Amino acid sequence: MTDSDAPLLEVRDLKKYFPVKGGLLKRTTGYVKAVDGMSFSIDHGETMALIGESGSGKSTVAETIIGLQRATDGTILFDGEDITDPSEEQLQEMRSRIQMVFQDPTSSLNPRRTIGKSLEVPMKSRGVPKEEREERISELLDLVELNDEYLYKYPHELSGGQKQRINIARAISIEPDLLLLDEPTSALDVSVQAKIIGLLEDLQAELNLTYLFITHDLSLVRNFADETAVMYLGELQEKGETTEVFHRPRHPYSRALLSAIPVTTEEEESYKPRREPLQGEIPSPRDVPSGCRFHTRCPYSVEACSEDTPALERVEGGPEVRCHIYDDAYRDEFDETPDISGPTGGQDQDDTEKTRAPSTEDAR
Amino acid sequence: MTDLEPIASEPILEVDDLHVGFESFDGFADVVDGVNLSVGKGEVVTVAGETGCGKSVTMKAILRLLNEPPARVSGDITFDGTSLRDLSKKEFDRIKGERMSLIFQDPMSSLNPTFTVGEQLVDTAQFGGYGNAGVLEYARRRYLGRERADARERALEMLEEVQMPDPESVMDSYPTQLSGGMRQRVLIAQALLNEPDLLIADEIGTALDVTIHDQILDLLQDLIDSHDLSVLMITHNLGIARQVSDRVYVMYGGRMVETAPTAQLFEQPKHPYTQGLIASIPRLTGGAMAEGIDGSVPEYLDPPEGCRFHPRCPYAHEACVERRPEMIASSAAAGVECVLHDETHVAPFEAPTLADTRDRMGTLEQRGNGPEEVTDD
Repeated sequence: MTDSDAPLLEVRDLKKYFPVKGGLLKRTTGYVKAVDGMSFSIDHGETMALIGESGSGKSTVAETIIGLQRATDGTILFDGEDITDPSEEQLQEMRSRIQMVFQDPTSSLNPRRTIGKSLEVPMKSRGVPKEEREERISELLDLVELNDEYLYKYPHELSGGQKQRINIARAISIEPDLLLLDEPTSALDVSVQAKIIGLLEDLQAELNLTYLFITHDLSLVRNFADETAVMYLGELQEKGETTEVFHRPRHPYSRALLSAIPVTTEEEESYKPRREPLQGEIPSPRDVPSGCRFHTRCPYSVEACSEDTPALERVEGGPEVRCHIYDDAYRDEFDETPDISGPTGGQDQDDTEKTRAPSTEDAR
Repeated sequence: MTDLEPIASEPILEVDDLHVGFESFDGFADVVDGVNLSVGKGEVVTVAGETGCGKSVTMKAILRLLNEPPARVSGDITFDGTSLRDLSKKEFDRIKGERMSLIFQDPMSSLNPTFTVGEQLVDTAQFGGYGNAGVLEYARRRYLGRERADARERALEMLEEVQMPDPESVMDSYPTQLSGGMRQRVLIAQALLNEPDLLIADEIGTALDVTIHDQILDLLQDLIDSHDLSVLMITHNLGIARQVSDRVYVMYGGRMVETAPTAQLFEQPKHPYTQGLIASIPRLTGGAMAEGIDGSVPEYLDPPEGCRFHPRCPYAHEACVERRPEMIASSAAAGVECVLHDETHVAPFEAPTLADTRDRMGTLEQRGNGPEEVTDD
């Protein structure tokens, strides 16, 4: 269709508002702004992680991309083609190229269908002939490291990890290009989670898949994604290469998220940003705070934050950040700024260039 | 079996050779198989393990929350010198209401949606431990005199102590009107209302977002210090275990396979299961991530012979199948249930370290993220 340099998925200024109806006449009284102006793109064969707390709109983004929700505004380009408001034909085509793996492995399998039958459904709807289907199902089970014994089993006979393997097999059965993974491991135990992540990595290499990986587990992202995007109340707050975002998280929200993870080694402890606990909880997306949406919980916030809305701007060092602290026009107003020199312990002597980015010394 | 002592001088809770099984149509499920556990006064102890390891069943057996039958419970449970299994229901209720508290996993379903938070808290403050006071006694205490008002006062103070924003209006709210984090705070307040000595917390805050979870753990830690609580906490998240506890028990297949003071457990885990579990946790620092442990937790209807971990263990050999390994104590507060650490046993393997297990499990390659990557490890 288009040249391979173009990103596989491009989302421009995506908005998804859900109307809130109230009153006697059920008139629209307001909107829940689940996604409010998101732009990002994912290249062929890449993995982008979308992280954020519940209620930040992560899943809505995935649902809008795959057409379970219609976007209120904005554009979604898949392989150069506009699929924001797909025609029936486009939807058919698109559904075979974009697939989704859901969070709960149990409720996403029909309990009354055998595994074999469940795996057959997507191919049937694509019109794959019967003989081919059977062969392909065996192949799929093999790909996800299960065997033909599972064909005639029912979902309740399988463990959570096995069920999630089946879900993944079903998603890749019609050879999609893009997989939307909506918290695929959050219902699983760590030892099983590691297996599933391993499987996803192998599949990506083998089948040249592109992943949009939605999660709230940051340490998993560190090991799995090329790019990381941090979402808060329907907006991207920080986006960049995973290593950079984890090494030197810039946005106060990314920092808080990182500092809140319970870890298991001293080494990791020193890697986390200084503890910056947040006040309160995520506000309702129905009534988003003015200015910067994060200012109500931000430990650094000043008056300007509640008045002017920051834009997502590229900062030195690579990532894009939505925060006034990194904007020259506002920097003087902050009493304190985050220390973004990166983890201590001499791991990154060789990139002094990057620590020269908006440093805290300048601000004081 | 060697008994291991708590770090703190005397135990407040001691569980000795606890067995819990369930009758079912398919046979007898032998879920908890000889668990020994102790919590010292002022000690924070965590029981960690995967889903289906018997953590919650152990806790429920301690608090007599299992219906017998179908459950079959045996073993000794001693709380501050009193043997809990010998007490009558009424005596036990008194101890449970006044000296032990429980915080459940799900803040949504542990509050009654048809009563306001205030009513639930005040009832706990007034009637904790007196579940069967009788109608007249109940009416007298509920409607006459100042007792109710005092209890309300106490509930309010408690809400303030758990840093609840706007406690007055929260008292008159129904649980559905509160957010997850606030509900969890209500539960903590409720658990601490009667000034218990022992707090049992089952997966506290797991249902919450990471930043809220962090706030709750911080709060809990402050309260543990200020109220001088002894805590038995259950979690599947080893990171949380490391953050809050003095000592950790690792549970697998209904047995305590290892216990050690927290720092020691994370630096030098001894049991292959503990090692596998720690190696499976993705690291914030990146670097290679272990591939996880093969297989899944055992079926309790027909558990594996000998060591219950042997079908998944990379070091399994004959001795592991033949008999259950003994708890081998390496110090007063640390021990491991694995033959590889038994000096009298000649094993075909050296006792493995965390690094050995990580190598054996195989690792997933870390993603290339450009030139920066080399600086990570």
